[in-house]
This record gives sequence, C-alpha cells and structure tokens, in this order.
Amino acid sequence: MKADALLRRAQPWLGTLVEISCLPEDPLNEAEIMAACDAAFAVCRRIHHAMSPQLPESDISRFNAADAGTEIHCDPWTLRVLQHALRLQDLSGGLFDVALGSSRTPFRITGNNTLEKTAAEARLDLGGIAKGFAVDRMMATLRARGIRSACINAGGDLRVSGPDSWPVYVRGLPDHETATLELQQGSIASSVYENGESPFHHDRLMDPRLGRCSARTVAVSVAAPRCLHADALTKVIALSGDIHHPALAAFNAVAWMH
Amino acid sequence: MRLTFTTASTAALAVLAPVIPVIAQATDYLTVEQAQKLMFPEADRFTTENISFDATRLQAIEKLSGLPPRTAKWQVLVAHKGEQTAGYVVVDNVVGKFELISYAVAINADGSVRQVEVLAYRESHGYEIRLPAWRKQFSGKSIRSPLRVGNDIANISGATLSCNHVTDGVRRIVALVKTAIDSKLLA
Repeated sequence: MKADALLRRAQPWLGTLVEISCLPEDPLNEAEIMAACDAAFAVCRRIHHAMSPQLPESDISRFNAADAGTEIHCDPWTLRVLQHALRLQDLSGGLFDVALGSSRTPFRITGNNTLEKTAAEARLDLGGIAKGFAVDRMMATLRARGIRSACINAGGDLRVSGPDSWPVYVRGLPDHETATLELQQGSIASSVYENGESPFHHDRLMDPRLGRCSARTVAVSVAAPRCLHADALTKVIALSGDIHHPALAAFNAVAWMH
Repeated sequence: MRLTFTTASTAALAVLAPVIPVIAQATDYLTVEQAQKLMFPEADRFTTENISFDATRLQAIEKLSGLPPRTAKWQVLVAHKGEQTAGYVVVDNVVGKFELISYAVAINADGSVRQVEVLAYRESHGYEIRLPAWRKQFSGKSIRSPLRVGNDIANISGATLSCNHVTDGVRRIVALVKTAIDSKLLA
C-alpha cells in the first residue's frame, strides 16, 4: 500500500487533527469519495456540538452547569457514549469513569433522549472516549457510502478497514522507541503521559480513585476491534499498570506498554 | 482484527548502523485549488484580493480575535457564484513546537466559518526506531525489511499534536475577514 495511491484529507476536530485516508476502488469516483469524507467529517462536527466542554451549549457543558434534578435533553449519541462508559466503568472496577470521581451517582438516563443530573457536584468529561467513538462512527459513515478500505486517525486514535493490512507506527515517550506493526480491521489508541501530563496535548491522567491527577509516567497502547474501546482502555491500563487487566478480554483487546 | 508486530532484522540494522531510521510524518492532503473547489462547490470562479491592513485595523483584528494579527498583509480568495459573493478562502501556516501545518479556512459571506481543511502537515522532528525491548512481551513476530521513511504512509498512534495553533489561526482569519468586510476592503 503506497501513500500516493491514497486519497487523504484532514480537518481539525475534537482538539486534534482528524485524518481520513481512503484507498480508491471501483465503482466510486473521486467526487464520491470526497463526499463520503465530507459526511464523515460532519460526524465530528455533530460530536463536537454534543460533547465538547468548550461549547457552553453542548450536552456536556449544560449538564456540568446544571443543578441536581435537572433533566437535560441530549443528542442520542451522547447517551450512547454514556452507556458505553457505564459498561467500561463496571468492567474496569471504576478505573474508567467519565465523572472522573466527582460523584458516585452522577446521572440517570431517562427515556426520550434525556439525562437527569442526580448529584449537584457531578461533572462529566468524555475526553477519554469521545475520539474513539467518533472514529467508529466515521468509519461506519464511510462504509455506508461504499468505502471498503480506509484509515481514520483522530490524533493517534485510529481504526482501519478493508481486506489489507495498514502499516502503523506507534510512538511512546519522546526519545523512546517507535513500535511498528500492521493492523487489519481494527483500532489502536495510545496514551502517553510524563508525570501524569501528556507531552503534547497537556491532557492530564486523571485518577478517579484519588479525584485528582496521577503522577505516573507511562506510555500505553491498546488494540481492539472498536476504537471507542481502545481509547477508553488506554486509561484503564495507564492507571492500573496492568497490561493483562481483565477488562481487556471483555472487549477483545490487547495492551502493551512502551 | 489482525495485528502483527514487524521489526527490522538484527542483521539489517547492523548494516544500517550508525544511521538510525527516523519516522517523521510528511503528508500532503490537498492543493489550494482542490481545497477551494471542495469548500465552495457552487462557485463558478475565484478572484484574489491582496489586503494590507493599517495600524487601526490591525488593532481591530486583535480586539476581535484576542490574538496578535501576526502580519498586515493577507491574501483572500473570493468565491463568486454569478453576481453574488459566496464566501472567502484564506490559506495560512502555523508553526508549532513539533509541526508545521498548512491549512485553508472557508468563510461564508456572512462571516461565519464554513469549513477548515488541512493542506499539508510536516513534523519538524522525527522519532527514532530502535530495537525495541518491549517486544519481549510478545511471542511470535514476523521479520521484515528495514522501514523506509518519508513518503511512505505514516499512520501514527501516540504522542501527536494538539490543534490549538490551528484553532487560534482560524479565529484570527475570521476576525481579519470581518474587519476587511467592515472596512470595505472586501466586497
């Protein structure tokens, strides 16, 4: 697979660069592939509007600003992400927590796409899962438009599709090794922290058990069929230090530390 | 899902030494022409306006965007549909600590952002590939020829950038286009 055979586009979304690479295949022409990419980037726009903490009108911002007992009408995708988050929280023994330890009962999902805030101090942060979710949804969008072979990379959370393998370089800490591998029909996410802070994004590794940031220096990668699981599980592995954590098996995932 | 770890063979690396392969992403996504057509498919022609802002207008841009204007001279592509102005395209570069990003911003006639496309991305320092000790965590690996760098596909996971510079750049461009329209420097 050579770079000049691919059609590639990138737009800034979700606080990072979201890149789509498509292998052109009959019967699609270039215009159709570009239109499919437009539709995939529209997924990012939707997730940005629903889940970004930087937009005061997003579901997450409105939730965080609300009083206890308030019902917040949400984008169905926000609720879907929260349902995934609950399952991950359960299987990780609480290491994965989108409330970041702010409350043990932060919300209740009621009917009609509504979220009820059940604790005044509850704060939600979907930063540990939203990119992976976006990548999965973007891939589904491309597939629905007939694109069989693609790579979507949202700032290092990536997923590939198609019958062929894609080469992937996985970086750990700066000045450390780069792993090289080939991935087919799966996802990889990586979390890199020096003393609890990402050397590039200024993301902090929040430990929900402590209610504050961890000071660990760790570089973790997780591979899983779905990018949302790979994304979320990097935090579980980074906090536990256990590359054989039982949550991995539940999602057909494998992890390694750099 | 299938995952295979690949590595340079020891013998091949000995031949390469002391040169250590380096991975640095260098990707061209779109040309300006491709980007402007993608962002304004309804346009039937584009014209170029070269704008020079005076000190007063530069202050206005800074006030609107919250950012220093960086330069007084900007080139704005105007998208036309018949007699109407469909919008504007501005191309800019941002240089971060580790990367250089060339991008285009499409602005609607009402001054709102229509679309942002990255044109090119260059990393300014690469990551070395060494014989990784972590491989001992795994059994079963395939031996491949040494990695090429540069134009090959670099799908990279881990330790990548944030987009703050681009976000700031977009905000600056929105402000300068609005200032240009308000000052009648742009139709």
